[in-house]
Amino acid sequence: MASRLLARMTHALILLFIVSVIGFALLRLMPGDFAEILLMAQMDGTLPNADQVALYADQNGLNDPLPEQYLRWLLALSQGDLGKSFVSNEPIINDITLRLGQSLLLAVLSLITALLIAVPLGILCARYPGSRIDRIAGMISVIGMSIPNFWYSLLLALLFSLVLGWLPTGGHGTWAHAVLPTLVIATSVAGVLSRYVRGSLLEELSKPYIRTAKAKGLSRIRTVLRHALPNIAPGVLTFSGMQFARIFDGMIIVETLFAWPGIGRFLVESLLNRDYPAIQACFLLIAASYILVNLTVDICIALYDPRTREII
Amino acid sequence: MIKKTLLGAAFAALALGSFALAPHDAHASDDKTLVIGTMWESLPLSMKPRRSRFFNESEILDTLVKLDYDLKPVPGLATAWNRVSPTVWQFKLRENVVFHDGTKLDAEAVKFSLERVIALLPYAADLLNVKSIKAVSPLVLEIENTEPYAALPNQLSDAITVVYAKSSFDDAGEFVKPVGTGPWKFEEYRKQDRTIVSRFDGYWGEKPALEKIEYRFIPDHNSRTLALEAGEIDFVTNLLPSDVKRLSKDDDFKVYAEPTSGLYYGAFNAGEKSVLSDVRIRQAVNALVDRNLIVDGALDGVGNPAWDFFAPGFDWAPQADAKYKLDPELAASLLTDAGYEKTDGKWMKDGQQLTLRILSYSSRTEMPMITEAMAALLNEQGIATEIGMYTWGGMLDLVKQGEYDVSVVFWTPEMIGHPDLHLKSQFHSKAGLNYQFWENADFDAAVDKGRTLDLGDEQAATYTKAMNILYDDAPIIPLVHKVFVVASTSKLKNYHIHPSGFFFDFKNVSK
Repeated sequence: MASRLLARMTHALILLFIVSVIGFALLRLMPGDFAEILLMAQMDGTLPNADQVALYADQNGLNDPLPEQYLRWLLALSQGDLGKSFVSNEPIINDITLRLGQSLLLAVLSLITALLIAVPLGILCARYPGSRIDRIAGMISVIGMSIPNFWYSLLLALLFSLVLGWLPTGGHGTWAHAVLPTLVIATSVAGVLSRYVRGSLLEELSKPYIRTAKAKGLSRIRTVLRHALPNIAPGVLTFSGMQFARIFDGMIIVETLFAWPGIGRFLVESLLNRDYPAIQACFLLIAASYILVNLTVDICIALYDPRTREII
Repeated sequence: MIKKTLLGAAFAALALGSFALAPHDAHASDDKTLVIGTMWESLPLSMKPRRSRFFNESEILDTLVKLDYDLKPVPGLATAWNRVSPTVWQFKLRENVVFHDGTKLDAEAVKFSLERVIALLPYAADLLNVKSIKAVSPLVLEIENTEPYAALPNQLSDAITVVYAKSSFDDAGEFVKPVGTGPWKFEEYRKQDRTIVSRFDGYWGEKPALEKIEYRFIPDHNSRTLALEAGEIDFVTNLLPSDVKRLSKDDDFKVYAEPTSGLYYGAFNAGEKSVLSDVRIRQAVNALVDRNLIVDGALDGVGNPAWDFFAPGFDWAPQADAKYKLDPELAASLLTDAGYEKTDGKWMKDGQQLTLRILSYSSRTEMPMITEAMAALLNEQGIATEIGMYTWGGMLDLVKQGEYDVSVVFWTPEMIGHPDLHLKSQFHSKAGLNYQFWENADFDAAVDKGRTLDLGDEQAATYTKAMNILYDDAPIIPLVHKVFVVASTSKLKNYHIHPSGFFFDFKNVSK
């Protein structure tokens, strides 16, 4: 098992390497002369002359071979140096530390909330397939999946902030601020997730051992909770890991609407400002966290279910 | 109804299940604190983005010269100014002014600040045209220009020239935080969230009624207005046109609207890569677009149709002797002259329909709407259009390469109450921002001369000449004069929009 896990981690490392090369290339491939653009950003947008550019390129090793520059960049990166923003001229790491924490908080809260909604709903639907509950839940799931987040966010804000006055319309800092953004992302994920739980549970419930359990005289709810659910858990976990992309997708819009200072909004702002170093940092972070989340899920499943240790 | 509320309550209770409901700061502002929702983040710890405008508009820092509500220069930190020779200006400074850190304002301090600004912001050097700055006596500052420069007092009302105390910079001369002489003292900045200023009791002018102002950053237009309606903020900027209508009808809110001479316009590519290098087509386009329809259709009526370059009604703004007008017959004869023929309702030449590539950018909400409206009106008149929406930078790349026919942009020419800033920086053939490949030696000469002349007949005649050239040679199509709109709760008293659009002036405001 240890060697399999090692192999899985090696794969992740190779992926991370590829991501880092792309990230490095991202800046070098932007239109125009790299040294000139960097220098121009530092000079508040005025065009430097050729001598200044040459001197700057020389001082900062921008004429060295690319592999050498890549290694130097990687070393800086490992020390948290992501370069300076073109816009604020501040180290990007300052923004990243603030925003990454906020985004992770939102992601974790959303995922937990999504699971809390999706699992009971999925169980209920699988328990009474074809019933009215199942059909209504199915409809809600489809709506949850297909309703655009920007519109849905505004509806929630209208209800909870304006009509009821319970929650703030935006900002961050207290738990109340987290409720609406979490709810929006969580429900969009919960729709797919509950369908997945329902599907795999139905399949599980048709297996012979369930009949045995019934024959033993176990109550239906006990059968589901004690036997069927633990067996579909690894699948649900993997699927939840894959929903990370959807969660991030949701963040880009939700963070802007609710003035939540996360990575999603940072990416949008950086793209609009064409802040290349910031775009690069976002790209690296998002790609890396996607890889890490899925690796973590795999490890969790391996620890949880001895059978899958052979597979991964 | 009750059922719906119950349903909402149940839904919310479910959602809140996993959170401990902590008190949040909605409805928190007391009657001595004003909370403002802004579209841009107010960046108090950086001089560069947005050209230090926040320091001036929030009045943490003062300029030597200020603009009154008619955009006429009035005393700021300087109480009087005069020209002692064609290239030398003397400014008499206000007595007994202290900075927020307790140090005194004198000529040395102003000299230090202006020199610092010029060193840190290359743009300022161009703007101010400074050869040297001298402290003649503790309260007299002398500025020598590289050429005779009548517009200097106006330029010294620009936000970029605000006066910083020495303690605004660290030992290495880098900017740390704004320490100024204004009625509001910088208190706290929470990144991506808000900037807080408090009343400065040592202020040289009349003391403000409020004690604290919070500038809260709410980037989304809908959410920002919603925050006002939910009572979380007292004042909101950059409203959507549709919200303007709705809030105007609601007694709980006040909507303030004031025409400015901020202009939305289509900048023509007069270079060889565009059909618009032919002046007849530029004039024809100007005669084909009904600006009234753009204002009504794209902006819900929030704006004034622009048939001229500077909005009418500002003393400082020169006007051409004629205005554009909707005149399809004139346009038809111009296009026929230019070799086009109208067949099947399309203007054709050599088997090709007259087609304009129109670019704009979408970060400013109203740009796409105005651009689409203009394109639709041109289509109706038989001119085909290809619209490209980009980021500001993306659009600029294409524009610099000359790969466009029209770029729809916005400009606020009234920041200093003098025509020089816009005319020189946008249309002069040597201007850094002139990407239109439009050159006119007579125009250059008029603008170069205008900035050296004092107010009077000669100055007026010179600028009228420049405006007539703009009208005749038509390097742009003016579309809409901006109406500046903000809204507040109805509790707010004594707020007036400053026509510069970049000056809040909350000194007299109370709630």
